[in-house]
Amino acid sequence: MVNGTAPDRTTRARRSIPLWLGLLVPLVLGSVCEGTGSNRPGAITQSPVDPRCTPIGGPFPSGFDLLPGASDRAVAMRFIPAGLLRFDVSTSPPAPDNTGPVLGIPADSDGDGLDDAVAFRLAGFCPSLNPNCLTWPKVGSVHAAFRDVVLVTASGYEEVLFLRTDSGALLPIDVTNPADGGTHRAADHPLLPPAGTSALRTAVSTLTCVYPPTPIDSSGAVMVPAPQCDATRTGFVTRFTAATAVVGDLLFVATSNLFSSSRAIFHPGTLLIYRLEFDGAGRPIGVRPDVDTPVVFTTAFNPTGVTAHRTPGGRDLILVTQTGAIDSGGTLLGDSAVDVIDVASLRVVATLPLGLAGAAFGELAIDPGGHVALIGAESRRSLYAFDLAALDDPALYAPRAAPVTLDGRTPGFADARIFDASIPFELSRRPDGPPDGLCAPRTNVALNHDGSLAYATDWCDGSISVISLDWSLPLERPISRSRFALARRLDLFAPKTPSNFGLAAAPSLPKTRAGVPGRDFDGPDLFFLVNEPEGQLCAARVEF
Amino acid sequence: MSHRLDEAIRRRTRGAWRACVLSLFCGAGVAFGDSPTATPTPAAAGAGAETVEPGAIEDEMRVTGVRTRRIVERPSAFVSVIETDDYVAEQKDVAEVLGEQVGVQVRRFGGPGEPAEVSIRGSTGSQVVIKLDGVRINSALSGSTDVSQLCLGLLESAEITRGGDPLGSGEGAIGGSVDLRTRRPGAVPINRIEVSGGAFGTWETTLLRSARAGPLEYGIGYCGFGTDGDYTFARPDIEVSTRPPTTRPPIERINNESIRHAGNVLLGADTGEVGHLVFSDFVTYSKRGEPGLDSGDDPLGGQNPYASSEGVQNLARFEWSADSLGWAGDQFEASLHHRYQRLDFEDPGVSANDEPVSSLTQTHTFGLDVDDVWSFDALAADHDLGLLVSARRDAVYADESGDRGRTNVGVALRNDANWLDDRVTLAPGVRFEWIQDLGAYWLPAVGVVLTPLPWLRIKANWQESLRAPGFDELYLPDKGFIRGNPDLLPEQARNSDVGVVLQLAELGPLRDLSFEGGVFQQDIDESIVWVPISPRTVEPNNTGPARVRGFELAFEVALTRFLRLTANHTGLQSESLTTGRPLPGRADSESLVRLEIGERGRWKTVGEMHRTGEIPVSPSGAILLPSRIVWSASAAINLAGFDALHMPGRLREFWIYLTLSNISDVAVRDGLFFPQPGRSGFIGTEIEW
Repeated sequence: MVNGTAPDRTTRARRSIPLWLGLLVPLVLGSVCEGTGSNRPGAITQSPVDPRCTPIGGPFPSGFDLLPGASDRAVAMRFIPAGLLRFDVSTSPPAPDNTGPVLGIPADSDGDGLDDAVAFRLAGFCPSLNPNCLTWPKVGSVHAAFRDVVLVTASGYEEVLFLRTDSGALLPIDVTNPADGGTHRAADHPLLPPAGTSALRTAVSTLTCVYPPTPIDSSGAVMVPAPQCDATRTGFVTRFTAATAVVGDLLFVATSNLFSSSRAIFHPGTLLIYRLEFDGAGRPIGVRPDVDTPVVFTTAFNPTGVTAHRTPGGRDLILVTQTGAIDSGGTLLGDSAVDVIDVASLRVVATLPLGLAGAAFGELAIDPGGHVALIGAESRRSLYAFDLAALDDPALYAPRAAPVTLDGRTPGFADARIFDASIPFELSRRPDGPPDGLCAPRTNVALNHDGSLAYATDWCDGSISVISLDWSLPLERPISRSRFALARRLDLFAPKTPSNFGLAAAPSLPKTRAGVPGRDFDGPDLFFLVNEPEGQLCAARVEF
Repeated sequence: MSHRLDEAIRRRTRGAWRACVLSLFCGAGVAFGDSPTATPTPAAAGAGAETVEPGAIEDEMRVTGVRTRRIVERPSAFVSVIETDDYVAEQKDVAEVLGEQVGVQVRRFGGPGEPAEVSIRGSTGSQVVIKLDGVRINSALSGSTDVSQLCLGLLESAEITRGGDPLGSGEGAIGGSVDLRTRRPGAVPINRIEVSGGAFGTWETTLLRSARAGPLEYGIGYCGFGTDGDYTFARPDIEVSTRPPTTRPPIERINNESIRHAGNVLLGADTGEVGHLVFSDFVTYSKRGEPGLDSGDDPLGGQNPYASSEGVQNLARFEWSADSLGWAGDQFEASLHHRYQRLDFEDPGVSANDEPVSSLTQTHTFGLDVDDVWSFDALAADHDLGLLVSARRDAVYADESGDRGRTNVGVALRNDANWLDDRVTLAPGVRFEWIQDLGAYWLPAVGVVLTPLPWLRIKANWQESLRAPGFDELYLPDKGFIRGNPDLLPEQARNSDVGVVLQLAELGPLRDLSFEGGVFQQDIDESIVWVPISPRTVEPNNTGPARVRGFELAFEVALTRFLRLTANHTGLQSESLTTGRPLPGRADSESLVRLEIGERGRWKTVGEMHRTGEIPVSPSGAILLPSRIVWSASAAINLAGFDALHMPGRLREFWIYLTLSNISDVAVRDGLFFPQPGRSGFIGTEIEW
C-alpha cells in the first residue's frame, strides 16, 4: 500500500519480480552444489601399539603364511579392504614389503565376466527370503602353497583365489569344468565354466552341490534337499570355504558347511578335490574338479583345517581337522576329530577322535621327524596331540567300508591319541589373566625347526607357552605324555581383562621360521598374529 | 515463549540491556550476563507482559512472552545458552548448532537425518543427559540420544551445562546436560513458515502458529524433513608405515533415504493468581533406510541396501508452576510426563549367508518432577534453597530381549548462598539417587563463584556423578556375536573445573565482548566399554578408571552493528588410566570461528571455520582420523526488512537464503565407518507474519 491506494496488477507484478528472482537464482545455485567429499580425503593412519608388531591396517587379518623357499618373507591377507600384504620378517617388527599399492579384490573376483553378486544371483543361490542377495568373497585362510602363488579361501562367493605373491595381483589360470563322468556332474559346479569347457579365471569356485551318504545335519535333523542341486538326491551346497592343501597335482579344499549361524547347525563336512596343472616353473596354470572323486565327506562336522603330511614311510596323507559343531559364542556342541585321507585312494582311511575338544581352526603342527601332530583348541586352554606312527600301519589302507577309529578300541590298530579332550595338555594360566566367563580361550600351536619346542599362543592370557618335547630317549608306542613338559610361559602381551582393553592382546596362529635360529638367521624365529585391539603381525625371538 | 518480534526487539536492545545490567552490577553488585535474574518472573511471563529490568530505561525494555519458568540454575556451572533464532536463515540442524558450542563435540554418523550424539568435555553420548522441556529423552536402551530426531525449527533455546550436572539432571549427566526448550506462545500471535531444500534431495519445512484465545495460550507446530541421503563419499585406506595405500574410488551412500514428521501442541492457562498450567505434547514419526557401516569389501562398501527402521516417539507433559506459595516455596514447579518410543527394525539380510532380522522394541517412561526454591536471608547471606525430586519408571517391551523395567528416584538439595552483595557465592548441594537393581548413591557437589570486579567472574566446581548402564548394556540377549552384561556396575565420575568469565558491554569500538576460559578434569571409575570377550563375541564391561582433561576458550565480540565474531576452542586429552591409551571417539581439539556480517533483521552473511583435530577411532587409539577444517557460508536477506520492496504489511520477516556447507569438499568422518557428505548447497525461506 502506497499512500493509501492499492497498486494495480502491473505494479504488483513488477514488484514481485525481485522476489521471484530472489527465489530462482538460489534454487539453481543450490541444486548444483553436491560435492563428493573427495577433496583432500586425508590419511587415516594406524600406528603400532607394540614394538614387536606391525599393524595390518584393518580390523583383523584373516590369515598369514610364510613363503616357502623364502622364509624371511610372509604374506597376510587383510580383510578390509581385502588385499595381500607382504612382510619382511627378518626383523622385529616385521617390515611392510609391498612395493606398490595393495591391490584389492575386484567385484568380479573370479574373472568370469560377471560381478560376483550378479553371477551368484543368476545361478539361483540367493535364499528365497532374500532373492536380491549380494554376495562377495570374504577372504579367509592364506596358504603359501607355492613359491610365488598363494591360495586364499573365500566364503560367501565360495572360491579359492590364486594370488601372485610379488604383486598381490590375481593370477589367471585355466579353470575347467569337465563333462559329466565318473562321479563328477558338471551341473554340480554352477559357477565353473559350462560342462566340458575351460575358461581363464582368477579363482576356482567351491560352490558345489554335494550329496552326503547320510543326509543328517549336526543337530540330528534330516536335511532338506537344496533346490539348486540334483532333485533326485538329497544334496546341499557347500559353504564357508575354510582351508586348502596341495599334494602333488591335487588341491584339497575343506568347506565347513555352516548352515545356520544363529542355530549353529552344520551340514556334513566336505573336502573338495581338484586337479592342478603346472607350468615348467611349478606355477599352477590350470585347475579342474577331480572327476573320479570330486568330494570326500568328513566323519565329523565343521572341517576347518587341512594339513598335508608325508609319513616316514613315504605315504602322502591329508589330515583334516574337524572342530565339530560350535556356536558363535564358542560353546562346543559336537566332538572334534582329525580325519586321515589317503592321497593315493582319496578316501578317509582313519579318524583320530578328540572328543569334545573344540579342535582349533587351522593346520596341525607336525614335527620334522613326523612323530607327533599337535593342535590347539577353540574355547579351551589346551593342546591335543597324536602319535603319527599309527598312520604308517599298512593295514590302515586296506579297502574297508568305514574308516578305522584310532582310539585303541579298534582291534589291530593302535591308539594314536596322546592328548585329547579327556586328557588334554593343559597350559598354565596367567595369574593376572581374565577369569572364566570374561574371555573364551583360543589356543594355537606351532613347532620349532627340529620339533623340540612347541609354542602355544593363549588368546585370553596374551601369553605364549613354550612346551618342550623330549626326543632324547628311544620312542615308545604310543608316545608317552611324559615327553611333553611346559618349559616356560612368555607373557608377551596383555591379558584380555576389560581393564586392558586397548593394549595389544589376543595372539594367535603362531608360525616358526625355517632354519636354526642363530645359525641360519639372526632375527626373530616366531611369528604370530595379535588380533586386538587391531590386527597386527608380530615377530619375536624366543629360541637362543 | 519469545517470538520473532520479541526477538527483534531483544536483539536491538541486547547491547544496551547488557550495558544496563553491567551498570547495575557496577553500582549494586548484582549478578550479570547469564544470571537467572535476567529471566522474567513467571507471574509476568504468565501474563505475557513486558518485563522491564529494574532501572532500565525504556529503550532497554525486554519484551518476552510466556516462558517456562526456570528454577534457579547453579550459578557456578559452566553453561552455554543458545537462542535458536540466532541461527535464523542458516539451514542448521540441532546437531550443528550444539556442535558449535565450546566444550561440545557432536559425533555424526552420517549426514542430515542420520544419527548424531552429543559429547560434552570428552564424554560418551550416553554420559550426556538430553532434556526436552525438562524431560530426559535419552534412550533407556543405549543411554544416548539421537539428536537428529529433533527439529531446530520447533525449538526456542538450548542450555548446555558442561562438566557434569548431577544436581539438576541426576543419573547420566557425567559429561553434562542439554536442556532443549520448545517454542512457546508469546504476547503477539505468531505464524511462521520455513521451507528449505537442496543437496541430496534434502528438504525441511516448519509450520508454526502460536497465539492466545482468551485465557488460553496455545501453540501448534509441525516439522517435516526428508532426504535421499545419496551422497558420494571418499573411502580412504588405513595407511600403515611405509606401505603405499590402496586407492578406492568414492561410492554412493545407499539405502539412506529418510523422512521425519514431528509436531507439537501446547496449551496453557493461568490457574488463579499464582499458578500456570501447561500441557504439551511432542510427537515424532520417522522412517529411514539403515545403510549400516562403510566397512565391507563388496561393491557396496559393506552398506546394507535392504535394512530399514520405523520409529514413533511421543512425549506428553503436564506442568504446573507457581510463585510465592509461602511455606511451600517461592518458585514451585511440578510436572508429570509420559514418553513412548517404538522402533521397528527389519533386515532381510544382505548376503546369502545372512539370516533375516525383525525386531520391535517399545519403551514407556512415566515420570514425575518437582522443583521448589525457597529464598531467604540468613548468616549474612542471601540464600536460594532448592529441593528437586524426580522419579521415573522405564519399561521396555522387546520381542528380542523380553520385558524389562527400572525405577529411578532422585532427591537433590542445593543452596546458593550469596555474600558481600553477591561477590561471593557458595553453592553446595547433594543428590540422593536410587536406581532399582543397582542401589543407592549419594552425589555431592559444591561450587564457588567469586566476583572481584563487576565484569569478572571466577567459577570453580567439584561434583560427583554417575551413569547407570542402559538396558541394552545390561540385558541385550545373547545373539552369539553380541550380548549384554547384567553384572555391570554404574559409571561413577568426579568432575572438577575452574574458569573465568569476562563480560564487557563496550570496550572502545567493541561491543558485547565476552570471554570465557577454563580448565576441567573428569575422572571416571568403571567406564563401560563394549569389549570383545571372544574372537566372535562382544559385551559391555567395566574397563576401569579413565581420565579426561582439557581446556575451553570462548570469545565473542561485536564491532559496530554490522560485524560479529564468535570463536571458541576446546582442547582435550583423554586416556584410560589402566592402559594409558587415548579414549576413542574424542577429537583432541575442536575450534570454531564464526564471522557474521550484516545488519541483523535485514541481511546477514555468515562464514564459519570449524576445525576438528585428529580423532582416535580404535580401542588402542592407534587408528586416527585426520584433522580437518570445514568451511561453511551462508547469505540471507529479509525482504520484509526493506521498505523499498513493498512487502505486504503483515509480513514481519521474509528471509530467503543460500547456504553452502563444507565448501572445500573435504572428507568428513567422526567414526571410522560412517562417512559424511561433502559440499552441500541449500536454499530456503523463512516467513513470519
